[in-house]
Amino acid sequence: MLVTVKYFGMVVENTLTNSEVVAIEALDPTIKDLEKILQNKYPSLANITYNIALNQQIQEKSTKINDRDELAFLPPFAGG
Amino acid sequence: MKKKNVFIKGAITPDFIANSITKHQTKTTIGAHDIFLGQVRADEIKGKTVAAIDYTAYEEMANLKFDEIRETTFVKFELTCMHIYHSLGTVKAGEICLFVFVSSPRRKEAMKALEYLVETIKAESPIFGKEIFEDETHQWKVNS
Repeated sequence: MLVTVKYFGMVVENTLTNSEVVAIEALDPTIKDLEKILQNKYPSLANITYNIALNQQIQEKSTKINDRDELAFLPPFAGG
Repeated sequence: MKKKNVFIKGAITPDFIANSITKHQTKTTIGAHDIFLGQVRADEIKGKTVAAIDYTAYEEMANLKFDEIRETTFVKFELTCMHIYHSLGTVKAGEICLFVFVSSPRRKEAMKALEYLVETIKAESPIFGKEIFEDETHQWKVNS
């Protein structure tokens, strides 16, 4: 399946892109499966703090993901 | 409820704030306004001074979150109206980056609602701030 992944703030300094489409081969993948793929691709992600949003809602890493979902890596918030 | 746009490019000007207050003078059921203004601080960190913050946001999620925060606040407090504006892009030290404006028939509701709103916005809205130092290096701001 294919999902869109967006990156924000300091995460972008590790991925060097704001957004990409990622292919996942696992059956019934979870957010954790996607995170593993991206930590392999961008090892420095392991050094920073972030939450992952699935379709604009922060979710636990055990949450299942579906084809065409939108995920986002969100570093600590700094509004205001 | 109509969708409102929270984000403003660059700093929020004193004129914008003054106009917003003026617009409420026709709403005569209001007895109390309370306003929060967030201003960019020239923090000194390891001998370097913050000159500006460059704000970015996950705008789709932030707008959903702001709708949710507004709905919850209207349920919890007796408010006549509520406005939230946040900057995107560069805001220099000393300029305003967040403007939260609540109005109510009574002061206590306005004051309680404002504190709740500001704290919730800071904790839950996906907005990111790059603190730019005078020597053009940077670090990422984290809300405390």
